[in-house]
Amino acid sequence: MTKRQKSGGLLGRIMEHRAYYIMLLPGLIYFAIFKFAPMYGVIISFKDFRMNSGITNSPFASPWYKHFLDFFSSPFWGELLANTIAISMSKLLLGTLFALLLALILNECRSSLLRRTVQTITYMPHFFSWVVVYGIVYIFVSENSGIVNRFLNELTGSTIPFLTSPRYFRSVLYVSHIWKGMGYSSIVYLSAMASIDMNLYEAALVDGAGRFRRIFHITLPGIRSTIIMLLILNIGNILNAGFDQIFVMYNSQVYSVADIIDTWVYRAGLQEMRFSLAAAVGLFKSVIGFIMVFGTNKLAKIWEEGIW
Amino acid sequence: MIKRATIGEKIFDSAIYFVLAVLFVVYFVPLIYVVISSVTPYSEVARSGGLVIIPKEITLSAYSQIFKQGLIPRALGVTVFVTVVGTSLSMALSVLLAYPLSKQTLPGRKFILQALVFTMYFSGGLIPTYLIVRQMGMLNTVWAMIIPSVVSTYNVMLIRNYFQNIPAELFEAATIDGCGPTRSLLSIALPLSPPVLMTIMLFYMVSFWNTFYAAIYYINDPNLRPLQVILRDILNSVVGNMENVDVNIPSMTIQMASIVVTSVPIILVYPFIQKHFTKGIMMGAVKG
Repeated sequence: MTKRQKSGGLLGRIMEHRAYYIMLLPGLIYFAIFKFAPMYGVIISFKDFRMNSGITNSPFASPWYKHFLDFFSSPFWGELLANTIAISMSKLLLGTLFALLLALILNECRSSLLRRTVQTITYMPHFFSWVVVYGIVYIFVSENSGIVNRFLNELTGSTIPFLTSPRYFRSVLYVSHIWKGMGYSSIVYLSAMASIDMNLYEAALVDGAGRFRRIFHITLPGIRSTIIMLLILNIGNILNAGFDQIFVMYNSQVYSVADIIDTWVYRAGLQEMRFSLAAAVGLFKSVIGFIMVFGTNKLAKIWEEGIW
Repeated sequence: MIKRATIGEKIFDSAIYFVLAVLFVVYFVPLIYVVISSVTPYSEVARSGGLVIIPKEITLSAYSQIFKQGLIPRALGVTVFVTVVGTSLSMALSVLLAYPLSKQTLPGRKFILQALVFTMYFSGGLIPTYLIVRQMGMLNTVWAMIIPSVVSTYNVMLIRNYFQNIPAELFEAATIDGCGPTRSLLSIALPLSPPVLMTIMLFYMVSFWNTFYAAIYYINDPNLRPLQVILRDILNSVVGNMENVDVNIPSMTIQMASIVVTSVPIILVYPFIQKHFTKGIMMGAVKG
């Protein structure tokens, strides 16, 4: 075997593994067409795309950065970027806080039946689609038939337009985000807590530390590196404010607080057919996103090496 | 060890139980409310002004109504097809990528891996992807909901990590006994990997069942709309007064019944998912 490898060289080794390459082929074709070809397709950001000419034959725009100029000189780009960052940062911080609290509470719970029940039911919404979650949100807070508004109407005679008012819409986004994701996100923290050395707790107990002291001096420091790692990594995704959720829930009345880069790209590109402009905005987002993720990954690695 | 619980400890425990009980209510009430309102007869809804906590009698008329007309059954058919065919294709392609890439000796392995990982960090974006799907002639076909997202790089990496941890001696022994790569995959790697394969299959199933965005992007044909899109339309009353809807059934009851139909399969597979997903998450966390 080794002899043949030496004498066969690279070509021989490739021939030896030919069955493996055949296995890889369908998957690699998929990646070539649906992942790498679109990366070439971003070239239409610099062109005036025409459906009849296709990606390759459409003429270049003049100047080539025309669509970027259009976007950055338009009034909405500041709002889009601000909305995107505000929504994703708030979701990240609130999501982390609630997942952490849930994990702490579950970790302190002494009744395993109660713990398992709450775990089961809080993990579940993660697997529902945003449409289903929207349905649930809708029956609670819609202005005409929502339960909350029915009560408000009985009590005060007026209703609150949670889903159509810029004042309340973001709160709906955050609350539904927390409700859907808190359980699932808590899993990582719970398992980080499970790996804390039990001897620490026993030693603290002997020293007379109460439950709060043990949480603040053992549990939280024990998972600090996990929390910081996840925060760092998630900051890389700051330009993904959650198209899935917002697209299902928003409407034109709340564009001023809810329109994010992704929803705008969808409307400009696929509804208004301004393909080149939308692709340019998409490319801007991809490039910034790539730099952010790459940077935060590096940062996370440095952090990881710093503590171990 | 001090065994006796102090008063402070007792208060602390009670507070924990209280918070967990509140949490349970916050999650359980919305879910059960949807189910209850979907089976509450109109007479009771009318009497109470829409708020029914426990109905005196239940009716399945909303369900028979939504199944009597074509909309939901057709969408259900689309979604089931997408889920079954999509999951099968996803699993096949993911395993066929993961297995060769788990072989340390494969020439070019590192390059291929880096290329795959790169797609997790950078994408061409929605518009170029749309144009490619269009160029492939997939617009307004059921394949547009399956093929463009058929492989998740992350899942491939999870399977690959699992394969890599199978002792190499097993494969060496098989090779000596005359097993080729295909036989080794089928009779060694796969039979040893049910935990990871189950986890990933369930993840794929859930994401295909929840197909929504692919349909929004690529599908115009009303006959090809999947369940989630129909549910969105029903909720937004786009199809509020569908053909032949019995006026005696309030639209809210129809909406609730549609939510139940759309999420029941998730609830059914949920116990299986729950058994596996913690492991799945941790597999990802360990190896990043």
